[in-house]
Amino acid sequence: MPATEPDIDSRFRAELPSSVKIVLKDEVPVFSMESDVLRNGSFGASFLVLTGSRVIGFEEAVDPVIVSIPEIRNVFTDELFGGGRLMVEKENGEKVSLVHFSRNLISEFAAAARIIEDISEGHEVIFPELEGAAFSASGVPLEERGGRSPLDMPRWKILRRMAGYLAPYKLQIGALMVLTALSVLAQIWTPLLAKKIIDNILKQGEFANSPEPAGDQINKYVIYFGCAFVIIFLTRTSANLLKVWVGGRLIADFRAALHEQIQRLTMAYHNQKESGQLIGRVMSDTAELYQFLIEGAPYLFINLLMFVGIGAILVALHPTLALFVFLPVPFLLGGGGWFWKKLVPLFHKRGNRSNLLYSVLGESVRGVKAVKALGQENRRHKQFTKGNDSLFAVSYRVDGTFAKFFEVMALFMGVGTVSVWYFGGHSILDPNSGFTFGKLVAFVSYMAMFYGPLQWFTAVMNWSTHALTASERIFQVLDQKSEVYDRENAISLPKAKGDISFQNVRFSYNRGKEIIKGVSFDIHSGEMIGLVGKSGAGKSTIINLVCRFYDVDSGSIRIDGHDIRDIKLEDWRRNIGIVMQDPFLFSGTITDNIAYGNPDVNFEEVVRAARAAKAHEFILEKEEGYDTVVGEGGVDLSGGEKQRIAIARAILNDPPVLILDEATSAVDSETEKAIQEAIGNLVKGRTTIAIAHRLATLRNASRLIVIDNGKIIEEGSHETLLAKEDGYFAKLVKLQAENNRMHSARTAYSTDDV
Amino acid sequence: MNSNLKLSRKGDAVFASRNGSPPVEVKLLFARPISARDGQISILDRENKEELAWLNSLDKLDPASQRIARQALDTRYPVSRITSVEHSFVNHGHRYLKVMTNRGFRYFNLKEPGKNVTWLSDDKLVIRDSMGNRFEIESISSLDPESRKNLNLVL
Ligand SMILES: Nc1ncnc2c1ncn2[C@@H]1O[C@H](COP(=O)(O)OP(=O)(O)O)[C@@H](O)[C@H]1O
Repeated sequence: MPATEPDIDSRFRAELPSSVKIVLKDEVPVFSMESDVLRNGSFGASFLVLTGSRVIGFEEAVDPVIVSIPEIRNVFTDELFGGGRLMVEKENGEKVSLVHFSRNLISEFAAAARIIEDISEGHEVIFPELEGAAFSASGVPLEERGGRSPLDMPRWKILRRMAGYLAPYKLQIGALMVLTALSVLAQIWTPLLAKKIIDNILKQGEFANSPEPAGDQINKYVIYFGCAFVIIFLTRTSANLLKVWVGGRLIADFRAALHEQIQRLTMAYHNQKESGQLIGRVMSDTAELYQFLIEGAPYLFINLLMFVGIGAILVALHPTLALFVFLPVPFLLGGGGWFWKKLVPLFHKRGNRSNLLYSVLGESVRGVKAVKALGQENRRHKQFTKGNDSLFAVSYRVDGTFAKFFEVMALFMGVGTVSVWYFGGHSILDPNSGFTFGKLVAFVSYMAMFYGPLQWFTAVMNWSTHALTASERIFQVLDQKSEVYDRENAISLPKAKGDISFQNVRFSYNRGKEIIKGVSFDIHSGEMIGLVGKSGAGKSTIINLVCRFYDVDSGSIRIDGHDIRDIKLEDWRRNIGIVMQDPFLFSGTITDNIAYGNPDVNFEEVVRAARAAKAHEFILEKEEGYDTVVGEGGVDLSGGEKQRIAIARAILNDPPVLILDEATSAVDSETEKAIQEAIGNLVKGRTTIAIAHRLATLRNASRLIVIDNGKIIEEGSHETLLAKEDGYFAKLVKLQAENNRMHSARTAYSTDDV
Repeated sequence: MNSNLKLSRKGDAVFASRNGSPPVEVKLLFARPISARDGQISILDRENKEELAWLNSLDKLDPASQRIARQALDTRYPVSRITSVEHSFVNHGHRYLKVMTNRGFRYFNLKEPGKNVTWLSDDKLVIRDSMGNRFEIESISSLDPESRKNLNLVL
């Protein structure tokens, strides 16, 4: 019975209510899934059950939707606003929806659609791995259903991970703690010395009957005082240097780990995260953590030591008076907490409003031409003023709250100070109390040390939460699945022959929206294939799969007979040269860019490659020739120039497999000719897959593969496809020719009419 | 002008036919599903995605077609309107809300409110949760005080 198979996601094994079981009678479910939306759109539990003979959409108090398997022609998901529905097309053409679901369950039901389709086509059932968390019918992520909410890592786990990164520096951290403890001790010592000096002058307390001359005593304690300051200076300075070093090292380690991870993350991950977010992880989250490590963490450590040390001394000096010092503590802590709670949302508001104002300002400056052209100066200024005023309003509240905060705190401390002077003063007058003026002065100094940091305690605790969150975000990136670079038993393939074969490949970027729908073709070594089709047909996606930026959902891609997933990733990518429409140039010289990937080649080889890529001449004509700096902050190159640099790069790499994404944009005919020649030089002797737009490329290709809507619809040479009267390609070409005629009537250049 | 457009249903699919031409399967879409759900409807051919008709309002259709259109739109746009915020809390910078909506109870996570909360006016907003589900609040001022307090905690 399948229900006990261990490695199937529990989401395919939903607990069914008894009313479903009545419908099922004694049929055994192949799988059963719970959804969170009813067919009428309300939230609530509904179920999808597949048995050996039929598929059932079920919800309480409504007739079930039942389709028998032989009736199924097609199963698919239909996107709805904020979710979707699983639909079946029957052999008679009727389409019915079985179950509705929210966005939480899109990938689950897309998987279900594939399983049902497989079964209805008589294939064996394979339960795919599901991603992410499982959700209950009300949207709550359910841990026990095998999914963990990706959001909160427990605190102890974060701390444990942090400890792992701290481990290499345990010596330094140990030294740091010892030094810090010493400096705290020295600081706590000073009020005691002051007490000795005062009591000695006034001949009070332990000095009441001392025969030693007061002057000698004073000298002794003043020397001690000096020593204390020297100790404080030395320990604090070295501790500060050490903490900055350890914190800085640690953060550098984090940044390095993040950068390495970002390089290795899958393209799927990169596609769903904005690049800005990742850059933020590397720079601002680590910076936040750094600030906490060098300011916050030592603050907590130092002040904890202080409280304990000073508290003990105060109690020893005068237990009752100590009680008065402690009296305002709960108010200081509580008050600090209360204010902080009020301030945090205000800070956020201020941050948001200030960002908003920045972006308005930024648009006004960068978009000044558009603003002027549209005559919108006044409206923009009004928009700015509105944002500006609301920033002022919240800033006033933040700083006003701060001002109040300090005064209220001072008032609380005043209560302690006043009672200490009152009771302390009276105690000194009472000769039996043993309390001296020196002790009172010590008390007052300790009080300042004691109260000062208290008001910030809550703030720093809060800060520690933020630092933890920052580290959590860092760990989240580090924990992402990276591409499998070194799979065990992976085949090493230093130089591929270049046979590529797609076998019934299916692929979707987002589960639920299949982009490549069962594509098969064979490319032999040295062949040049042109991929043709409308924009959005799936051409670039096929290229992405060849480069293994993504893995197929089902089917396989074989290289020289090996499954692409069995080949070492780095080896395979080294076998491919890619020339994109809009190639990316790294910041560096043109030489660096051509040699990227081959840092050891000599300059002659770079020039040879540039010549073959028809780039040599234009490079020479740049003022700084091959030393011209391009990329971010460098000289701008035209699209045609960039492309030829990329071609030179590919020629230098000499890969057996070449991927070519031809530019659609028209260039002048001279450049066009140069590029065509460059490409001609490049493809010689290589297996080439080109996303082809240009007539020359289409003609030169040994075969064209015409893609539409993720499927191959035609295949053959340029001539045969053109000759096909009613062919898709022939129609596409005719359409394009018309476009071109219209275009060339308006422009000076006439590009080759396809 | 659209009165010669007729909608029909077969199973859960909607078909349109114009001037008695053979019906084609269609999809009814709001042009502005967030800001204007009272009109501006496009009827697309499901196969080739070409627009068959544009309706500024459903009134132009015959009553039967209107009913089908309304139902198709209700199915395609199940909008969640929050009627009360029962609980909210912040944990690790992530905001969680338990809400009652016109569609029933829901518990969700809101990340980065700056990005995922759209204010349509000072009183009306749309929240997108971490999974991309949308929740609307028609009027904050007409929520009960408890809900407003809970909402304030996370926005
Ligand atoms: N990274 C991506 N994530 C999600 N969908 C994508 C992504 N890239 C492309 N698509 C979608 O896949 C389909 C095919 O795109 P593509 O392969 O780029 O087509 P072509 O190269 O033929 O123009 C399009 O519908 C596109 O919107």
